Amino acid sequence: MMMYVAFIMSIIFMVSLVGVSSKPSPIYGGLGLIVGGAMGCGIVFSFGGSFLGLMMFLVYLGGMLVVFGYTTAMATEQYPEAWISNKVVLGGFLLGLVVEILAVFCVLESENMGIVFDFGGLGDWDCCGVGSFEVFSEEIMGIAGLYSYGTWLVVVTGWSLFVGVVVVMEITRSN
Amino acid sequence: MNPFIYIIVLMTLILSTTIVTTSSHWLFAWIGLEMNTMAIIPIMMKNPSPRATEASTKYFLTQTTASALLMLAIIINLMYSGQWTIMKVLNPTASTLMTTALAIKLGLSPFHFWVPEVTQGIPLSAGLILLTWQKLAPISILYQISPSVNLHLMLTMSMLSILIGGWAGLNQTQLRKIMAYSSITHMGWMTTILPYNPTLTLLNLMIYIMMTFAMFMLLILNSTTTTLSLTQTWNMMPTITILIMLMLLSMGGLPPLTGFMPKWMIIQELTKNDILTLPTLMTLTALLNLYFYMRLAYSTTLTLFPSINNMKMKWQFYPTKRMTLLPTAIVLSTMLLPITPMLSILM
Repeated sequence: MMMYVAFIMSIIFMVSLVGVSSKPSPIYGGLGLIVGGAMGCGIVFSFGGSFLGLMMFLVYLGGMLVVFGYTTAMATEQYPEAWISNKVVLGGFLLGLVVEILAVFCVLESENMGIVFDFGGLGDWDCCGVGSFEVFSEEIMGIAGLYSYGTWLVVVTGWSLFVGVVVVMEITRSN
Repeated sequence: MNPFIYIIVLMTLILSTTIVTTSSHWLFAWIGLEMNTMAIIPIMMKNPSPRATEASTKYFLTQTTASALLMLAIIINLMYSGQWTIMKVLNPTASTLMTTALAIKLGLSPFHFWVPEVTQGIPLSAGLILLTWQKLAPISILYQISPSVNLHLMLTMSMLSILIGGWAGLNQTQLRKIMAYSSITHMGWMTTILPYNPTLTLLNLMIYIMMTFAMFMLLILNSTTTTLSLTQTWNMMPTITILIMLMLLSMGGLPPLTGFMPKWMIIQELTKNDILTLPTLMTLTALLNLYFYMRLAYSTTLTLFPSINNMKMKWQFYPTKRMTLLPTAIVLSTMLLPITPMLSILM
């Protein structure tokens, strides 16, 4: 059972994203994103990336989704569209659900569950260090590498996020 | 637009294409493509209107779908090859997905539907950037993965693009839509030769950019977006009238002009590979393109289109619009054919 925890979390992840993309009102979309984000964090946890999972909880769910929730609450209507209030939304959700169940059966019936588990490599036990062979967590070494070798990547990513905000502000202001 | 914001957006546009063309890491190339999409949206929304909003939304949705497909292909490539270097993609699933994603970004058939609608809804200068600068990044990635591109997929998409670009452009009178269908056709020619000789793809791209730039500059000078208003050019700027005809004939690929060079080279390269049906079909369907260019040249330059008598007696003022690089672009787009043996300097 514990072996399949990442698989189950990915199923709930997909179902919540289907709930988001079947286009209910943004409030309910945000609810779907919360569940999806939490499941995504869970998958990252189960692969050993505890720091990055908690980082995602903090920044994504605790920062970005909170801001999204506040702005949606300011712009919401009196009778928001839920998943069961409209046949179109319900139909879209059910279609996504049916396809997801079919995909799950396909993965469970096949011999090799290569889609989910078989990523190859040493997993999170990677050997860094030249002289003595020490064992470090690949995730921590990746984060350390991001801020040392990957300075330019941080600059470019920061700039593109800044430009994203500038673009949205520029488009939505009325002149 | 606020000049400070405009500078930031333009610099980001240039930076994004530079990142895509100079990176060797797949993630970085993907980041560059996303920055490219984000940075051009305010340029398309320079004059806010529901039409421009619709065009920007269509552009954004198609480009992000393509980016998502590209990310999927990158991760499948990572799973099967274990590395992030941009080189030929050995896994066929990843290669097919990547080719499809880049075809959506370029506007190849059957993913061409967004090109005319987006080009029509935005101002002429934004359309110029959309049809020239935005093609550089995806073609640079295609050039780098060209040894592994699925031949059947690529040739089908490009042949369909040439056919649809020519055929669907026949019924258009709006100049921006004509330029969009011209772009689809030229992208089809470029990607035909990609699996065989990618250098010719770059040659075709450079010449296409020069021709499209010159054509758009002529249209911006006239401030015309319809065939009808273009037909009044003879009274306002007689020199431009002749230049429009030369540009249109060059875009159609007629021999003494530059536009013939890429078509000639591509057909020669294809026949060297013992393929005869494809270049025949391509040349025949390029005639459809030539037809609507000729129709524009006919109504603008070769005949006086019917108009009321007031329109035939205008004051000819000196044009006050800044004609950025117009003479250079026109000379380069019409007179480069004799130096074809030196064409390697274009790369």
